[in-house]
Amino acid sequence: MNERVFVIDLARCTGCQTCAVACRDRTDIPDDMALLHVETTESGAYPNPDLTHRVIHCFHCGRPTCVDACPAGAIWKRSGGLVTLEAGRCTGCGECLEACPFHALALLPAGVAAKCDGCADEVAAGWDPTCVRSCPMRALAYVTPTTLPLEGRVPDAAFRDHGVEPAVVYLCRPRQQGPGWPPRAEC
Amino acid sequence: MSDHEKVERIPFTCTLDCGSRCELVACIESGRAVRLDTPPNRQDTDNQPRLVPCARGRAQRRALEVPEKLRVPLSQVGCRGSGHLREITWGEALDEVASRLAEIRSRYGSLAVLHASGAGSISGRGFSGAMASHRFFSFFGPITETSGNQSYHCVEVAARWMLGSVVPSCDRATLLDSRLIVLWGMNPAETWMGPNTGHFVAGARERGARVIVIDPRYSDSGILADQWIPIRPGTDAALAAALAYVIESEGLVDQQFMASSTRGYDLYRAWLLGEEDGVPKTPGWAGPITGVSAKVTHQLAHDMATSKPMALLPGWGPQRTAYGEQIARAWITLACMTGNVGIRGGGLASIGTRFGGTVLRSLPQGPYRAARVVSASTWAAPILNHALHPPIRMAYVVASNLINRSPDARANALALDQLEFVVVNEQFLTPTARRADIVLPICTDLERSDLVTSWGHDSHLFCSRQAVPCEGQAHTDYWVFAQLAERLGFGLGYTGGRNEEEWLTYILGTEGLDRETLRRDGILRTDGPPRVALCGFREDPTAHPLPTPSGLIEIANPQASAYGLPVIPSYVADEASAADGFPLQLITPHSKLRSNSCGHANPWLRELEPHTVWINPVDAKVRGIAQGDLVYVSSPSGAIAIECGITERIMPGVVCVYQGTWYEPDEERIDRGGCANTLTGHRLSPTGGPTTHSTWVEVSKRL
Repeated sequence: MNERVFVIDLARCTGCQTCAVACRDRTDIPDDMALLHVETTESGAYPNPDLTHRVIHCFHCGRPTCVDACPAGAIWKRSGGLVTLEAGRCTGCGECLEACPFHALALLPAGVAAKCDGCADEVAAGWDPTCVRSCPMRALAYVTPTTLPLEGRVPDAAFRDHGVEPAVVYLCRPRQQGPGWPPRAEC
Repeated sequence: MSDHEKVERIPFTCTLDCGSRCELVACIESGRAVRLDTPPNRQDTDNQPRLVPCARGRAQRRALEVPEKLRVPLSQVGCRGSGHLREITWGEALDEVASRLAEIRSRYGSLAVLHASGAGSISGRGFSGAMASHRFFSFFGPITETSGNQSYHCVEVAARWMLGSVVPSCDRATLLDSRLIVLWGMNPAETWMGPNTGHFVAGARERGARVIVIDPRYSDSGILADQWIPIRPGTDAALAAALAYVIESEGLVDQQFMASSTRGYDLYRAWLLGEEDGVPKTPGWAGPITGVSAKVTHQLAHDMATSKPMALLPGWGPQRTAYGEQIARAWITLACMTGNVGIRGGGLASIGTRFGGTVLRSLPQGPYRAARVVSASTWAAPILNHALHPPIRMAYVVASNLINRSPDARANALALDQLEFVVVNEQFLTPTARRADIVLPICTDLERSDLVTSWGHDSHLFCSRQAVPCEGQAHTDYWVFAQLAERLGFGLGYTGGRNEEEWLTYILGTEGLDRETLRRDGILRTDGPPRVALCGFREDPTAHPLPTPSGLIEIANPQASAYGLPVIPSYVADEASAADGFPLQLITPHSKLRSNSCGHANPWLRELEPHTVWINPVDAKVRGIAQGDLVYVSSPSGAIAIECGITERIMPGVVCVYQGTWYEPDEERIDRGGCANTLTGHRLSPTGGPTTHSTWVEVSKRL
């Protein structure tokens, strides 16, 4: 059980990419790689399109496939829940990249894999992780499971967790309907 | 954590033309910026939310290292635009610029010098960008200058006519009290316009407000909304008329407010009801014009009139059209009719310039003012048409990618090419810098100090500190102009004998300024309780009259006739239409990844999204265009090559190209950079506003 989980409010995430840039700024990962990316999905048809931006990074899974996949034993799950990669033991085989259903790892030019470290140093200093702090929309949170801010929101049913128990909850907020409020435009 | 201890944290902010001012911190280790941050331990409160920067602000460290970053002075070797520039010394560069300035002034008079700025680094109060160059030319002589508002010209006109002055809108925090928020061409998810606009819209929704977006495309702000109403560009005043018709004809007008606080509504009312032309401006009348069904229009009118308070938040896109004055006036009229002026959670539908704030000490100005102005939108036209006497001989461009940022990029480039001498102060080798005779390298916001004020939506004061040494030989604009002033004989007048640090201390000496906090935190916040625009006027219009002829809000404006506009905010149809092989309407909104063209050279931003032309599947299909195809978008002004992005998020008949990517013409004059302003034209609205969103284009696989 992870001590803390990532909470991502899909009704607040507008896909501004600030977290993606802030993560890059922290990690200095090469321009063509990313440890955090925003996956954009368009659905529906004009005039009722829908749009979802989903922040994706390592979710420090309860059943981390990367740990099982690593032949060098360079990735393991810590007691608090963080899935940690030790660069010194990584052979750069890339098996973990293949194993991760969220494509959340990268293989650096130096021949070692890299992943989100949960900003462990910053969390230890009493701060939120970089991505959470950077969000201008306050769509991201990193909380203990018992303090999940669920008010007015429901977990996103469309999210596929691939059975790996990711420590993330995507939240949806139903669009307001009712007398006088057509649910979507009729044009 | 030891890392945190050896890192020095220096507060700074951006000076870009973006619409927001935010709190940034540069983390410095051994003289190098290792990362950027926000003040980490500050917590949000309702009245004092953190000023969290967007992706553009967070990406600035990467921009220091890009190949386009200018590090040394350059001189043009080949013909302009060839990109053949050679490195020269500062001494050579400054001598050349100073001697050409002096020579052109003595041979042709100072009017022959055009000073152009804007859209770049505009908000430093002391030394940055345009502030430094304006002061320089006030000592140099009466020159020619670009003038006018490319962003919200028509909103400003409407405010002056109807309210007597540019009246601020309500503080964004008042949105939390709204029951209905109408984002009319407003897109806080991408253009922000205040660091917390989107945050407050989301917060209002969480408190039960409904949010409606009116826009030709489903922007990222659609996520914040309960309803999207697509509308044809340039027809907003027709929708406003139909809304007003319903509100009037169904007895939903706030009669008491209209009677006590406005004048001239009768004329608009008569037009709405068709008393003159026999055409009532019903939702059924507006539908074929706007593309919005009568049912949706009718419902929207009811929602706007009965959900109180209702915040009508207009963006600036709808008024950058052929008759943009009309929608800007209609927005204020709708705010009046629904009784939402001067109440918390309502608003005026005007621009967001704040009240007062501390008046800072400032650097002294010289004796001269610009003696001739050319439009900031269409400055190239009088150069190309030889319409100026005396003609312009040289241009000095500061904090502006001038070719890119004004309509008709190709004409802009041609106009610069006609001049004898062009100087550009720049941070990056932009298309404008490539066409200069001399390019002078300027520091970015990480490399210089300045005092910076908020945009109108806030009134904070920032003390932005230099965090890293200047890259290469780059200097500040202040330093450059001090050197030129020295060479031209007014060095002491320009500098007052002070360097930048001494000026900063002088400005910080402004009486009543809490300079200790400002120095320590990098910001002096003035939040307080959220302010409501015109609340005094609302309570007692007689005691707090507006500076209009009646002291009230003027719905009818006789001065409009002088510009060939109706005296009322009626809909005026654009005579330009789908003719001559250009059947699609183009909109050119601002991108979340650039501030105008700033940020284009930054791979952290550029790689996040492909630059595409948005097109509805219906329009793509009839043209045989598939997702990802390289297509050409052409207009009477020019053509761009761009990737095709087919999406259900834009209405049929409309295409969208984000503004700001760099102009890059090939030998056949096709802009491979996909600069939106290659397609826009020099036409102005009746009072002189740009009309970039009244552009007709075609999209094709071949040219």
